[in-house]
Amino acid sequence: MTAQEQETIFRRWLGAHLGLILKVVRGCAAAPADQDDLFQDVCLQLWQSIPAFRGEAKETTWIYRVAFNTALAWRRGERRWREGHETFLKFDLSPQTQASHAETLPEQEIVGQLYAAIRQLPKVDASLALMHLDGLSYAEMAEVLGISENYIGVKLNRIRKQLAEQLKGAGHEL
Amino acid sequence: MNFENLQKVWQSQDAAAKVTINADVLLNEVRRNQLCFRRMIIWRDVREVGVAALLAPVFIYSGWRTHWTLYLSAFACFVVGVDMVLDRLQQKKESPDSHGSLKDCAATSLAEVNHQIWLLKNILWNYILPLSLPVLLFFGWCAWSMPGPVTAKILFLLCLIGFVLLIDVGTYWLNQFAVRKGLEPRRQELEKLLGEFGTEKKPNNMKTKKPLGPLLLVLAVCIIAVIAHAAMKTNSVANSTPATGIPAICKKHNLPALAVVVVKDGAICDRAAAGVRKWGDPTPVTTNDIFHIGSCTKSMTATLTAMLIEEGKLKWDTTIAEVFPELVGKMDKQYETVTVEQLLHHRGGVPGDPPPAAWKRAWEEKGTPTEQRREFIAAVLAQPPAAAPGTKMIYSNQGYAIIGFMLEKITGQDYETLITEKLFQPLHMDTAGFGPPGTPDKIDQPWGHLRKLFMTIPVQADNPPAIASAGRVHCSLDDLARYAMFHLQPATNGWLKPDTLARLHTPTTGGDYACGWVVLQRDWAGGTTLMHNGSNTMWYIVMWLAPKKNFAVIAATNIAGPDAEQGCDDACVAMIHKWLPN
Repeated sequence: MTAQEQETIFRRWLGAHLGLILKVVRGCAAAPADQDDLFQDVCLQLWQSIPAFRGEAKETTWIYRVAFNTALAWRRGERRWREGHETFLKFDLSPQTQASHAETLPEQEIVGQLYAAIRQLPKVDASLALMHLDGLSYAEMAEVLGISENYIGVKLNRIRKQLAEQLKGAGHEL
Repeated sequence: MNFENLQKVWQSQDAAAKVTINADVLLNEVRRNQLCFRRMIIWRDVREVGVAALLAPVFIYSGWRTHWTLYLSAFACFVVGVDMVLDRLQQKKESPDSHGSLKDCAATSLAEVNHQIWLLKNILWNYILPLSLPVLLFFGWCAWSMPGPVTAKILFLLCLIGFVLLIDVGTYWLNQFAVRKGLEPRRQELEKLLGEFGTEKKPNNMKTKKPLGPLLLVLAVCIIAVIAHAAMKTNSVANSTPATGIPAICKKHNLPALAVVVVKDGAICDRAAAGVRKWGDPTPVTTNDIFHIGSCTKSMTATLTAMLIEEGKLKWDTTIAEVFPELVGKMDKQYETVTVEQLLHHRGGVPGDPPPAAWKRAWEEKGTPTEQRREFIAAVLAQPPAAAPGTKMIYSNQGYAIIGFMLEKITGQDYETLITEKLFQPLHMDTAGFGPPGTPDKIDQPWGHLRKLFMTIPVQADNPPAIASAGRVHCSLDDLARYAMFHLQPATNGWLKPDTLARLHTPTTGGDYACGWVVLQRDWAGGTTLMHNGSNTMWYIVMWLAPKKNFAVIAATNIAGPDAEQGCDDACVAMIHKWLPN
């Protein structure tokens, strides 16, 4: 694979799946600086994984796997090898921008609380929750995690209850 | 709100919309990060293996310069380095892929962490012991070759072992600390993670086998090397005939040079020399080379005294006060009646150690040698004797310095001129001189050597001229052989009456020290032997005269210490076996 091809794929993935990556990042790290750090780690791992990508797996499955694996190995404040640091995730949180999107404020609040609740879950459950909310099928989730669909079913039941529990505590009835 | 609604809300949010990312900048950063990441991995590998790779040549060089056991350290470095590289390659094959399923990835990560823990927990077997073992062997040799009594050697060895232990324990503790603080938490985290996947608790896949390979390999090579070395040493000694044995003896005792000369029936019958003039320089020593003879000078001073007695310049019972009336009142009263013969027998009560201040002055070498001696002798005689004169034998350079200066006073000539004209010239000892042999900084003659721990340092130095008559003469072994012949054949030498020579060779009743000669009984000599050894701490020489066999053997080396003494003894024994077979 040439460097050019690698770059093309990376740009395409970034364009098409940035949302997915960001959800994983937000689901695993709370503080903006940590999110930025994890995001860069995920990008690096994605870049390095491209030569091994043969199209046998679905792109989303592949990216989920790389992102989750990186997040599982990632630890807060542990920048072992990076020299210097540039912040990439610039969150535009001005009211105007927010208003221009179709989200209403209560909904936004719910999403924020969902993220907080997900971060409280055990790591595997958090990844399941993120994929489930994104609407992935049991088969897809099984492929990403490497466990049986049956077991996913069992787990999701419990996760749903837990999330409901936590959101109820935050004042949202499910 | 039910879960489906929640899902809708979730999916309606566009996580990416609120984030602006410059793909070009990000791409550059990713590439840069990849470079950093690779550099970090390479640096880690180089650092660990590099230390071993760097140390090995250092040990090889040191082994060549000092002792062969250091080659074993180089080998141990090599083994440990190769072991590390092999392990690293194996681990690289098994390292997790970031794009594998989460469960697989976690399992491989756990295996990796477990392997790291196993490695560090067993660092004693695969790192510390293989490296320490040859170092201990080397330290054993250092302690053994150190001059001094066995207790000092053992104490020194214990210190060295303590030093190694300290470093080993430190290394071990540091690594166990790394396991406790870094790896164990990570392992627990990964085990918990795997538990979340619903995997049944697998039997702990931590390896329990100890990595004994490197240690056993190093141990085996060490044992083989020590046995082979011992066998070679025994072989080389057993196979060598005495005449060709001098190089082997020289090598065996790690001497810079060793030379020997044998006198039988009034002629030199054998001579041999082996080794180099200066440690670290290839110039070989020859049978004509000059050696420092140290205290073998004493019998020469005694002989010179006897010559002057025969000339009537003084008598055996001439006293110090008679020769130095100017010192009466300044010297200790007990010294006044000490005789020439008492001084020659070390029975004048003169202390074995010089007065420290006078000795320091003597090293400054201010004024002519005669002036230096006048000052030194006055200082020695001003102190009280170490024992009442005539009661006890006390080996003393100071006593012979007094005798030498007495001769200077009586003849009005300096000691060096006197002995050259009276003894060296008539005996054709043309190479005889004083102080270190050869030209300063040239290797035209052998250099003396000092042994500091395991270093051998070439030096051109000698004791101060103040004690010249006790031990500052140098000459070739052939010239010294001529001097030995002079003492062996009273009938044929024209300068001393047989009675006078006999008196030089006769100790005081009850003692064994005559005039510059130790008188001992030896079977191989058929009775009495005259022997003396000498060393200015940088050279060693031993002379054995067997008058009944009309035989003498002299062995010399340009270093001092137990090795030098043993080497010269071995050389003498070899020559005695060769020339006096019965």
